[in-house]
Amino acid sequence: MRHVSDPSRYHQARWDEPLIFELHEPGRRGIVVPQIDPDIQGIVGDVVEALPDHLRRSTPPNLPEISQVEVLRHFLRLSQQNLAGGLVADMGMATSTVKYNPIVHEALVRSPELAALHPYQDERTTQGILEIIYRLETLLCAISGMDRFTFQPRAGSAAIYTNAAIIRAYHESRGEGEKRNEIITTVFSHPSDAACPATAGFRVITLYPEETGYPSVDALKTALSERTAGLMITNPDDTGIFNPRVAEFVRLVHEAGGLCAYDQANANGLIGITRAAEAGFDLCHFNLHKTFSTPHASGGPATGAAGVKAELARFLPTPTVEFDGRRFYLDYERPDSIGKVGAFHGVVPNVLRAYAWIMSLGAEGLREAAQVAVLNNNYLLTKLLDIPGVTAPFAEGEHRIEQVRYSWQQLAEETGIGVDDLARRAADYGIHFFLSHHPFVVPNPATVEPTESYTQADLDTHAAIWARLAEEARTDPDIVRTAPHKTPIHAIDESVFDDPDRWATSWRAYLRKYAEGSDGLPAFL
Amino acid sequence: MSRVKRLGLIVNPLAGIGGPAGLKGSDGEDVQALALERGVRPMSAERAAQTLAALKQNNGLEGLQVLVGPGDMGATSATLAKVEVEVVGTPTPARTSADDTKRVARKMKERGVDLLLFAGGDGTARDIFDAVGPDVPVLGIPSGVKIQSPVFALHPLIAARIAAGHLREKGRPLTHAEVIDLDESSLRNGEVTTCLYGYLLVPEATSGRQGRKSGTPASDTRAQHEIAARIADIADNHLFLIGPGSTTLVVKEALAGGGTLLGVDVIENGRLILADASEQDLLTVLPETGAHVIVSPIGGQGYVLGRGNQQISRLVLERIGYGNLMVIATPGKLASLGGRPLLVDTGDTTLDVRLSGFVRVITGRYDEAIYPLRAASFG
Repeated sequence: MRHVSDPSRYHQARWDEPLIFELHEPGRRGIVVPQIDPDIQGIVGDVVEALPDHLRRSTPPNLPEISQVEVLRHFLRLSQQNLAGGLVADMGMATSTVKYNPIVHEALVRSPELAALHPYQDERTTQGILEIIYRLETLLCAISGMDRFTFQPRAGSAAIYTNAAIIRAYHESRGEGEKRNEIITTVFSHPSDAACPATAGFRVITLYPEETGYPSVDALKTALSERTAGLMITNPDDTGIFNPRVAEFVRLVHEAGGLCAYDQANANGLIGITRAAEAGFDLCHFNLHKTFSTPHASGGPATGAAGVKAELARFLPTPTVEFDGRRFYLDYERPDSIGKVGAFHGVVPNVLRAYAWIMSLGAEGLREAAQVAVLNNNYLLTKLLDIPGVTAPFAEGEHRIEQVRYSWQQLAEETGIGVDDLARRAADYGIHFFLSHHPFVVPNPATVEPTESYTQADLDTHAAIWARLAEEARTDPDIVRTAPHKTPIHAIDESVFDDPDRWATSWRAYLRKYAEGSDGLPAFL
Repeated sequence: MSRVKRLGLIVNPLAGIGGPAGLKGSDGEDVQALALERGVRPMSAERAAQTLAALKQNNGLEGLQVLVGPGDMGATSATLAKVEVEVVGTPTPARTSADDTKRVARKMKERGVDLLLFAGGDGTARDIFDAVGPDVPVLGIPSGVKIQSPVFALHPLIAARIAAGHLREKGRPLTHAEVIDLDESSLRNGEVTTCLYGYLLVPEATSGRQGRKSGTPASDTRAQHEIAARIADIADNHLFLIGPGSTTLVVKEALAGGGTLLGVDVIENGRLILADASEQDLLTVLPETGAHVIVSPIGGQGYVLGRGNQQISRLVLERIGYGNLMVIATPGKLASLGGRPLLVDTGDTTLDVRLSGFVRVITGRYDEAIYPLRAASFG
């Protein structure tokens, strides 16, 4: 009989493993590098002295000194304490969908044909990878209806920034750069649709939704003026609700003189169904890790593919990959380009992975992936709404596209158990879920996106864990409040995340902020 | 050496008894008598005990001195939670009143509590505000029928968590949150009227009522300063008439170094020229042109005109010009409205309807939101 694992018997590995810097013991070595043979030394002289002054460190790097066994033990333990992408983290990582990553692609990207390439090679020797870059661009143009793409941006936000920079360049080219300084977005769009144009120097106007879950046309009209530079939105928003009037939004923005950029980072529910071009958008972008199977990599290296209509192609970053009918080549002669937004051609292994995924599915396969993603999401929606205490605010009773932002507010009011408690307790069952971006417009939010790659049994298990969490909140709130109990790290104090004086994202920052006479000092320092 | 921290607890033993009795509130002796007659057992002592017990269980009371009100005003809850306390105040009559709450709250303030927990509803929050004012850190344990004021945690257990965070760590952000109450006598006549009574100082996590342990990464306090910077950018040669509120107070401080939390103040060229002005004061001081009104919505409710700022009347708005009405709010405050529109209730329905539609709300130095605004009378 097939054995199905019981999530209530899950327990994560738990080691009392310090940071690698805390393992430091002066003089300890992993390997001892042999001294240079005197004969060789006699011929080459002092190699270090031969280096120019400005290339030599005055002090050695402050690295931990540890033995080989300590290094191996340390990293093995860390790997065991991971939640593991591709296994359990995916379903709950809505909006950031860590979707199906075919492991077979790793064989492609690690093959010497790709791994041994160098971007400075003569292009006559890199025709193969230039062809794949060119072909992926052609495929994404067909999927989106755009005319050109760049893969230079290193992630989704970098692609949104690229599009904001192109919008700015477009208005500057028409002598309206100073005047058109406002970008319109929606509160349920990804926050990068506000943050990236702000970084590019724009003011940002945010639209709030009606009961339908999306803003009204009148709200948009209030935002429009001669200062409008463009619209940068997702659709569906993080609620999973599709704005059916999006073409009208685009038309109104165009009439006001603005451009429209479609954040399609996560197009899981739409590929093969709708296209940015048909709604009238001038720009769009895909995250290859959210829609086209490449690893999320937790902050990179990733690829945000930014696409534009032909009229905006002259502003794309340099170089572009072109084909003259005989050979592929790089075009650097682009005087109107916004310049570079990343080195070379982006994360080329991701270009190859995405190309392989699209080619292995084909057009019909892409469409089916979207359909199954939507089906899975609505199946899970129906199952979760059976649990007392949860709602799916906005557009109640209607279907969603690929994800849903749930609200556990009723459960919190009844039991005092909020979503951050539930999230910690969920870790005891080996799953993870995303709450929401800040601020929480949906109270006590949880955002779930099951994607296309899970079985019905997986979805049933996921729903059963949610039902168990809600039941525990009522019958044994203490076990939820004090969770997690089965993971290496227990509840942590989040308050420092707010405070630049106290957060520490590196060992050096930690020493700087905590090592000198602070009362929060750990004993070992 | 720092002194021992003190936690205060006051329970309104009669809070919430009107709810199960179907009385839409618990204010007034006759209502309380009726509820008790109907056999309602007060729950507030137990809910306060739940908070204390959770604090104790998570070592949130270690090294802390706990002060409670006498009898059912706190001591009973401490006994239920098996927590050692010091009782503050003399024994009270069997049926306590608002005066008893205020008396004990004043004592707690004198004793310098680091946080004052109070179990009750909006009426209790009013009494606490009357007694301690807007400068003592407090937190409501929700136990009343009406919980409109964003000074309450969502649940007694969440109150325990917020309290533990506040007491354990220095530097946790505090913010002013509204004390709002319905006029219960009008409510029982089938009308709904709310009033803004004042502001209490609460841990920042409270006002969103989300029960998170900390403020949001882009915390509301920072957003308030951003908004103030935006106003300061355009402040030269302008006269600003600025309504009450925690966000507007930050603007007043940025423009003129201070102002009133509860009043409508007038600021011109970096000077506070009128504090806590009446409608007549405003009409006297207003120039023919070049004035702006700045208002901020009441947390959780969304009123921008007609609650706590009635001085900004139809006459004042007409003189200034409706186009010069500026609404400011942090993104967190807009989120706390849960999708409900902003409201106006100037007492002039025609004007309310005229102001309805969508407004540009200033949410940051370079950020605005488009948000619906409705006449309150249209629900």
